[in-house]
Order: sequence, then structure tokens, then C-alpha cells
Amino acid sequence: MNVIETRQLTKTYGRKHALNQFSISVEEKKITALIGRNGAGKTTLLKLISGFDRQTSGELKVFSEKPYNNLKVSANMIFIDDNMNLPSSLNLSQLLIVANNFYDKFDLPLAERLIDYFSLPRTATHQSLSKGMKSTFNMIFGLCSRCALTIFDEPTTGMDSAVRKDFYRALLKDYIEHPRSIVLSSHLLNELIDILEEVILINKGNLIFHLPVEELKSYAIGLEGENELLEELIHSKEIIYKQHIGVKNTYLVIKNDLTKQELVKLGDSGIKVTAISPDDLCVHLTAETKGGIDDVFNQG
Amino acid sequence: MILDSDSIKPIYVQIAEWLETEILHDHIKVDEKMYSQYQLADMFTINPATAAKGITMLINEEILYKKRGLGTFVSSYAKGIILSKRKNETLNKLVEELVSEARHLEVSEKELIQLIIEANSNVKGDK
Amino acid sequence: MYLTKVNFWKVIFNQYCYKLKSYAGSYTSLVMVQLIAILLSVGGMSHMGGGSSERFDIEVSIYSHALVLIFTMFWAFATAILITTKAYRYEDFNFVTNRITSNMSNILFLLTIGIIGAFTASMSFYLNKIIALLVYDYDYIIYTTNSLAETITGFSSTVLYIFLCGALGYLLGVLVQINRLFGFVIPALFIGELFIGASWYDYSAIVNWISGIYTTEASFFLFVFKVLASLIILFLASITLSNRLEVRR
Repeated sequence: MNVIETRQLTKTYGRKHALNQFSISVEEKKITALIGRNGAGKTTLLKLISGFDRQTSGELKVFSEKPYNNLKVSANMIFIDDNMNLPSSLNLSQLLIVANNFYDKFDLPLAERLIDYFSLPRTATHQSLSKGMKSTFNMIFGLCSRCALTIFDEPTTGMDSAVRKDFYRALLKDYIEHPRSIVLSSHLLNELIDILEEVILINKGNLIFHLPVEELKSYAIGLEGENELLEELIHSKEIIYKQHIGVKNTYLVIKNDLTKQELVKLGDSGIKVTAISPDDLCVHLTAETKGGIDDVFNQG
Repeated sequence: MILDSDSIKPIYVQIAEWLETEILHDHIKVDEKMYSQYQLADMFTINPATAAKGITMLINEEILYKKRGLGTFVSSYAKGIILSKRKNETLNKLVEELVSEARHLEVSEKELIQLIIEANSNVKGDK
Repeated sequence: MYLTKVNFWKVIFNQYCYKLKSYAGSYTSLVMVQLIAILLSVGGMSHMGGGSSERFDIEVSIYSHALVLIFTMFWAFATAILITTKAYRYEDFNFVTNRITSNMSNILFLLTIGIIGAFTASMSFYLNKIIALLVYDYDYIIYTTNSLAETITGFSSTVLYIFLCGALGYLLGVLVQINRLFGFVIPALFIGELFIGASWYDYSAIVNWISGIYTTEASFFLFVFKVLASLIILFLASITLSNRLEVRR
């Protein structure tokens, strides 16, 4: 069953297309990452899914229902981001109790243990916490709610790397015990890739791909060799990224639709074939130009 | 074992290889229960689906077998399969790479064979 | 997929309980507002001339808690505007809710503070007397005693007045959330009308109209009916309008 389904989903702010004809379906009980650069439309998509905002056109279903103003979706979904406004009149312990009243599956003892583990002061207010501590508290809140659809929008903002590691592990452990649909948006793909099942890449409101994690590694390959040699071999391929190395050599990233024979041929002609890390792949695919930042300087 | 996310090898292949090594080292013996996908996920902080893929790979290679509702177990000829597979795949691949690298470096066939013989006698000497 | 079933009324109740706790700041402001009103009215609302003879002086001061009531109504008005602001609205959406339950729990909250405000306002009358006794060294305090029925009607109409102010503030708040311009236009029109009315005709049509409806009604039940009808109209308008509002940036 699909937990999220969109068809031609479009959201415009003024004349800007924050989401453009966006169609995906996310199956239930998977951990999915939503990857994209700042302003790619990640938050817009997540806000529509959470029912906080209404689409301009297209279709959107969460738990097979329209999420906007939908109480059933709200009760089974939690949206965690770093803009969460929690009342200053309640301290962290009290906030957890409120959350416990609202969410049927909330695990209060676990939340309290996590708060202590991360040394968050129970009697402090949410406002008085540092940025990283706020994110940590929000993460605990989201995790312990055990909602059928748990959405984290940039959950690790301000967290140090030790806390981030703990977070990924806590998320995975809780997911193993209570499988549910989890969507994480981030631009730090490398450090969370191992816990993912699927990745959605979005750029300028458009879907670039929605793939199982394993396929990411073979989505593209890097080739390094002499200019003429490369050009001759890959004239018909889709080039994702191009960088000149020295005078005669070029480094190319192309979509990996090569046959085994072609690969062998490349190897034989002295071209170095390398794997592309998922992080680099996403950067290359969402870059403004084929040459990245270098192009800006080369034109001058 | 620590997984290498940067490696070209997909994580599930790394998991499968780790399981094979466990079998080779007799940590898990014939007809004993193999780790579940969830145990593996927890051990390596990976997605259970990825772990499941590694296990499925070994089931397809008949290194593991499935008992409905009970989990997966080590098959009686697991070790043999693993050894021959490693010989075929790993060793062949290494040799291929070796030969191709030798060609780039303009090392002749004779020299290459000589190098292998030397390396082999060194290893024997160490033992 | 196992999904939690939701009960509309339970969500409203949960939101209401949450607001009673998290909007604690409004109770503090109530105490402040009423204290100021009490201090201002300690001097007496009006004095009647005294007479004196060789043996004694007479000076009559009339006390009323009208000032406390007016201040409390303003407080309810302001609090209602406050809870329609973004910060408060977004707080609701950290937990289970939709726009209807969010509005319904706000309305319940406004009713509750109406009751609290009316209660403390009535109590403040006694406080006022005590302060007057302590400060002015009076010999006699004469006050009217009310029957139970009178006390109840008096109290309920106080609640209704405060609640009505809350409802007005709520609608104004929602309008401002839809377009900031309302925040300038509506007060400007209202105050402008007051000034023009006062300087040209010596009376304000709006104030006259409003007080004509709500303050001169002789029948209590008719009064209750009028207020309830107004409340329903105000809140329905607020709910309908706020249904279009986006939440969270």
C-alpha cells in the first residue's frame, strides 16, 4: 500500500513554481530520504503532505486521503522541522506529557530516557535550548510519537556529529521494533544513506529520480582519461558532470547505461572507471552547469 | 566489521560477504540459524531491507536455506560453495586486474609470472 | 496499515486542555489588568458633595466595578487577537489538529477566560471595598445585596459581555491574519467614526448602535438570545475565514 501518492502535484508561490508536475508514490513502512538543494522544493512538498498547505493543482493522497485539514492524517502523521514553535509556558517534561495525550502510540518512558541520555534539562523551556538541543528535542518528540507517517525536515540542523550518529541509530532501532513510514529531508546524504531504503532527488520543483538505495551506486560512473579518447567513446552518452584535469585529461560523470563490453573496452583503452558516491551524484545532478563552480571562473 | 559506504560494492554485497566469512570461520555452523535481517540491521546500522537483500543473495546461491516461519539456516554445502565462489570470482578478478595493470606498466608475461612465484614463496616462507 | 482512529471531540478536548496550560501568560495579564483597574477605581467613581455640621462630616463616594469590567473586556478582546497570531496558530499544529478543532478549542478557551474574567471581576469588587476601608478610614460602607437569581443573571451577563468581546477580537485577529491591512483599516474606521461623531454630532453612531443592541435590553432572555446569536455569527465568520489560512512558514 502507498502511504504517499502524488500526481502532477504543483505548487506555485506567485510566479515561482515551488513544485512542478511532481508525481511519486511512496510505499508504506520504508525509510525514504528526500534529497535536494536549498530551495529545491523539499519543504514545500513535505508541507503539502502534512496538510499544512494546499496545492495549486494536481493530486495528493496521504493514507489514501486528501491531507489538507484532515484530522485522520493529522493524528497519524507528525512533521518535525526546526521552525517548531512550542509554548514557552511549558517545560520539556510537560511538553512530552502533552504529546502523550495527543498521540495514541506515544512512548513516554522512551522519550524520558532519551531526554536524559542527550542531557536535555527536563525543566527547561523549548525556547531556552540551543539550536542543536532544540533539534534533539524535536527529534525525540518525532521519534516517540510513532506516527504511521513520520516526517523529519532537516532534522539534524545544529546537531554535532556524535548526536547525529546517535539519532540515525535511534531512528533505525525504533524503526526495526515499530516499522512505519519515515521520510527524512536532508542535504547530508552520505551519513544517513545506510539506514535508507529509498532516495528521492528533487531539483527546482522537479523529480530527478526515486530509486532504491542500491541502484544509486550504479546510477552513474566516473571516467577519467585523455580528451580525444573519451569523446570518441562516449559521444552518445548523457554527460552529468565534466571537469578538465591537466591539459589533456578530462573527468566525466555519465549515466551508467554502458554494457559490459563497453566497460571492458573503456578499461582496455586506459580510461579509469570509478564509482560515484551517492552524495556526489546528487550534487552533480542538481548542479546549475555541467562544470559546477569551475564554470563561473572559467568564463571570466 | 565496519561497513565501507564509499566502496563500489553495494552494502548488501558487503553484508553477504561478511556472512560468508562468518560461515567460513565456523562462527555459524551447518544447520544453525543465521542472523535475521533485523539483527543484521541493528548490528551494522543499516536498513533491514538492505540486510534482507544480502540474505536473499545467499539463499539464491544455496549457501543458506529458508525454513518457513523459523528463519534462514546454513546449508550443509555452504562452505564449499563459498570457497569455490571466492576462488572463481575474487581470485579471477584479482588476476585480471593484475594482468591489465602489468600491461600498462609494460611488464612482460615472464616477469609477471616470476613476480607471482616470488610472492608465493614469500608467503610460504612467512608460515 | 494500522491507523489510529480519531475522535473529533477528543481532539478538541485535548487541544483545549493544552491551551489552558500553554496560554498561561493570559492569566498573568488578567491579574495585571484587573489590579490596575482596581487601583484606578479606589478613588471612587464619583463623589457626591458632603455636608457637615458641628458634630459630623458626610462625604459620599460611590464605588462600582464598572472600570474592572471594562478593563476585563478589553483584556478578553486583546487575548483573542493574540491567539489568532501565527505563533499561537502554529503551536496548535505541532500536535493533532485541523483548522476546525483548532478554532473550536480556541472558542472554548475564550469562553473559559470569559468565566474566569467575570469571576475575578466580581471578586475584585470585594477587594475594592477592603482597600477603600483600609485607605480612607470610612465609617460605613453601604452596598446593595442581590438575590441569588440576580447574582446569577448578573454573573452570566458579565460572562457573556466578556465572551462577546473575545469573539469580536477573534474575528478581528483572523481578518488581520488574512490581510495585515485590516489591522489598520478597522481600528482607523472605528476610531475615526468616534472622533467625527464626537466632534460633529456629539455622539457616535456605532457606539449608540452597539449599546442599543446589547446594553438596553430589559429582558434577560432576549439579551442572552441576542448575544448568543452574535457569538454564533462572529465565530462562524472566523472559522470560515481562517479555513483558508496556511500554517507554518
